This record gives sequence, structure tokens and C-alpha cells, in this order.
Amino acid sequence: MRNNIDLGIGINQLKEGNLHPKVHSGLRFQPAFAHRFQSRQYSELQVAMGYSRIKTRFEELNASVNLQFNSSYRYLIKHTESGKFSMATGPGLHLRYNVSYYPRWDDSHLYWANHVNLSVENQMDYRLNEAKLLKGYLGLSLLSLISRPVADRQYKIDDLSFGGIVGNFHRFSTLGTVDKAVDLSTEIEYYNQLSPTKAHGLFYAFDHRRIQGQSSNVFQNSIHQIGFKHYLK
Amino acid sequence: MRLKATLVCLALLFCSCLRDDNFKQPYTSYLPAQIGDDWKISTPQNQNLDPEKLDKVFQLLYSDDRFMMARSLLVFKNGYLVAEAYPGNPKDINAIYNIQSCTKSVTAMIAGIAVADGMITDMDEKLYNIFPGHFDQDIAKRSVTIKDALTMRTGLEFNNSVHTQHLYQHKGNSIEYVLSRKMLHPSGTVMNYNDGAPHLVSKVIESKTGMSMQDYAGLKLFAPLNITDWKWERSKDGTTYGAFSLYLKPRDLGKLGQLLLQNGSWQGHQIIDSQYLEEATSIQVSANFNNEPYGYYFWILPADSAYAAYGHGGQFLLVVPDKDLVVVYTAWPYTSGEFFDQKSEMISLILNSCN
Repeated sequence: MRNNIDLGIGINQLKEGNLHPKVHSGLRFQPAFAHRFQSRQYSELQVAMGYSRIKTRFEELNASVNLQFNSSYRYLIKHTESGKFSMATGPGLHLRYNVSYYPRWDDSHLYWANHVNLSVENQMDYRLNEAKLLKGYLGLSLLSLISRPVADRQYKIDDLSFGGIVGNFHRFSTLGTVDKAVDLSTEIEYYNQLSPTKAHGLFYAFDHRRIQGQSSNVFQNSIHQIGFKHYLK
Repeated sequence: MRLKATLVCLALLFCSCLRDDNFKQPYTSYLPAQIGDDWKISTPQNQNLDPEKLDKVFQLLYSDDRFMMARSLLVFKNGYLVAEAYPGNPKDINAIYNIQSCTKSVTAMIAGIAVADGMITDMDEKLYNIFPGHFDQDIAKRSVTIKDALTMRTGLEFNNSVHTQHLYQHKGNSIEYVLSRKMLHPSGTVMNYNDGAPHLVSKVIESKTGMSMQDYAGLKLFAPLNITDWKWERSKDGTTYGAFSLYLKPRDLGKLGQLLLQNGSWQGHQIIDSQYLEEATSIQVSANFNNEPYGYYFWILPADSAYAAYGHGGQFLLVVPDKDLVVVYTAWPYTSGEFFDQKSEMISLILNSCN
């Protein structure tokens, strides 16, 4: 099965240090698509989008919005195969956009924590039977290029022109390792092959990001998510 | 075994959730810090303030969620700094932040400096006589005077929730943008609180002095008061924003209050024309959206015999001449109105602490 479409729903928690030390949280919806390239190893490209309406405990309505776009490529080499268990490890490359608007707290500025990172990835499979598989995945960033707004923005309103937004989002001014950016992704999936051309999966995923750019306070994001995968040939 | 695994999973789940941290540092004291600046420090008792009542104000500042985004609260009495606190971050003592619409009041002060310098001689002078090239064909707009602009009675349509952002991001001539708004009322008749009128006053000062209002302020206001760390945003065509985006330290905002208390005089020099200042801090109109009395970009508080500059985020500079009192409150400048702090209660408590 070379392609899968995923639909996830979960809880999104954010803590934007440039704004205040309270947690925004809300329901999150994420569609995703993954394609595995023809290869003896595990070579996969995935794109995903996430959308949440969030609020702090001081608010009644979820007026704030968080949008995420993730694009990832992994190349994992199988190095362990023992009975029902197999493992593959390798590098990953991720491009992540994480953009929020908190109109009640700051009606003049966008907040973002965008980064490109090189990671180490690990995939573990445990075969339950001929059709069913338990998959576990773990990824951790090693080196990241970060774009964050500065904490003390000495201007009243963001440049909301297309060029202004694109320019701001891609001002990758900080390079760092885990001291500056932690991008942790984990997933466990129950995979069931229904036929040679059809398979389904149920998954639970936990992602945690901690990003700090130059002259910027820490941004943290934790996502707990469950979902469904539909595999296609 | 299954129960243990479930408990471990739940524990991991709990630990992986983000937690709120406190908005503010713990409250310890309101005693001002000695940082070697121009302010003389004193105690509330020595300046005829009740220290316990003042303490209640600062306890409120730190504990009440209505002041959740507070950055500073300072009390000046008889020319001394007697109380200050920076509940969010102690480093805010030296940080400049956007005072938002308190900027309008500073614009009015600078107009008063231009009066003292003889640059502005007639408050009824028409803007059309000062910068005619920016006006369109609408003859009605040519009757707008300096005083109309200072009392928000230009008659021009300007809705802050729409036009302020347009003004800020306008790439062409910003004065022409303001003057291109429709004329809703004859000038001098209807008060409409807006960010466009102070921008016109900024242009008046620029035209009369031959330099931007920012540069004129630097020379004539900030330098004499030894205010060295400040920033004032300009529109894309270079006109200083008269309505917002002056960035000051809280103690320096206090200096502006002290200058007002001293009728525009500082260290023996009359910086702001005193007669102009009396007009500026007297009732000229009632505000359109709340009927409160308004002078030249100052809010008048007759019940307290006081006047104030107000800025988005609940920020204010309060001046109480009868009590020789200045109060500065600054906060995160971008929160929506429902998160504004309840300044009237705070102001009442501080006034009550005066013996």
C-alpha cells in the first residue's frame, strides 16, 4: 500500500511565550496524505494540515485560531528483522508552519513558530498475524532552522500584505539543536489489511514542539490525536 | 499488568499536557528602585499618602485578573516617585512600550510647545492654509481648523476599527488618505473620537516647524526632560503618527505627567504654553461614544478635579493638580476591550490614599 489518507481529531495545546504564560487549548482537526516511494527501504513523503479554534480558561469563546501545515520526508533503513518484530531507522526532513491569531489578546499581530528540521526517525513494526500489524513511530529533531517573531515587536500592526506575511514567516534567523527546538513526534497504529488493495489503520499520535527563536520567548505545542487511516494502492 | 500499563499511560498523558504559569511575579513591595535616573525617591508617608491604602492598590494589581496584562503602576507625589511595581517582568522598568492612544495627549502637548515657540499663533487657523496641497476638491473640508482637529471635530469620517489599519498600511500620502475620507458633518460641530485627526495635527506641527513631529518632540520635549530612550512610529510617507505608537518607559511617561502638573514648566523653562495647557486640560467637548468630557486629546475627570491620557490596554497617565499627584499605568497594549483593566476602581483607591 503506497498511499494513505488520514483523518485525525485531537486536543491542541499551545503556550505562546511572546504573549503570556497561559495555555490555549481546543479541538484539532487534521487531514493528512502520505505517499511511499518505490524503494527497498522505507521512503515516505507526508503532508498534513491542522486547524484548531482555541482559548484560555479566561475566555468563554474559542476566538483564537491555530493553523498548521507540515510536510515531511523520511528515509528509513531496515536494520532489524526478528520473527514478528522489525525496525527501521533513518533521517527525516520536516517543514513545519505553525501560525496563530489571538484576537482578544492581540488584535494587531500574528504569531508563528515555523521551522525546518533534520531529525532522526525510528519505525517499529510488530506483526500480530498475516493481516494485522502494530506500528510504532518515533521522531526527534536534531538540527532546526527557526522563524519566530521577536518578543518586543516595536511596531503597532503586522504587515498583512502577501509579501509581508511570506517574508515574516520565512525569516529563518535561528539555527539550533535541541537547545532551541525540540520537535518530538510519536505514533502508534493498529494496521489491518482487509484485502490486497485495501487496508485501514487506527492511530494515536502525540506531538510535542518547543521552539525558541532569536530575541523570542519560548513557544510550546502539545497535540494528542486519534484518527483513522485509509490505505490505497 | 494491564492496570499498571493503563496507569503508566495515564501518567504519561498527564505529564505531557501543558500547564498555565502565573501571569505575574509574586507581590513583595511597591518601594521604588534606585536606578540612578532623574527621579527623586520618597516614601508615601513623607508625601502625605497613606501607605496601607496604597498597599491595597498594589495588592489588587497583582492579584486581580482584571489587571492580568498589567506592566507597570507608578505613583508620583509632590515631584517624588513614591511607589512603583512591574508585575509581569521587573525588567519592564527599563523597557519602552507602545502607549497607544496616550500618544494623542503627547501630540497635544507638542502642539502646546509649538504655541510657546510662536509656531502656532491661532488655534482657529484653517488646515487648508497650512498644507493646501493635500486637500481634495471638497470645499467643506477647507474649513477644518487646528482646534477642530484637537477636539476631534474635523467632521471627517474615520472609523478606527477600519481606517486605522488602512492608515497604518497606506503606501501613498497619509495626510491625503485622512483628508480623502467623506465629510459627514460640518467641521467644529460633532465630536468623533478617531485616529485621523491627531495625524492632521502631526502634519500641522511638521508644516509649522519644518521638521517631523517626532524630531520636534525629540528636540523640544524629550531632550529637556532627559528622556533618551523612546521611539515613535511614522507612516510610510514619513509623517509621525499623532494618534498612537509612541514608545516610552513608564518613568518617562511619569515625567510628562510631572511637566503637566508644573503647567508646562521644567527646571525654570516654560516648555508648553501655560494658557494653551489650561485650554487643553479643560472641557472642550463631550466624547461621542461615552459622553465623557474631553479637552485637547485629554480626558477630563471633573469629579476628581483631574485629567488623563488613556491608551488601549487600559493604560493611563493621570494628573491630579489639586493633589500634586501623577499616576502611570501601562499594560500589554493590544488586548481587546473586554480584557481591559478596570481603571476607575484603581484610580479611586489611589486618590483615597491621599491624606
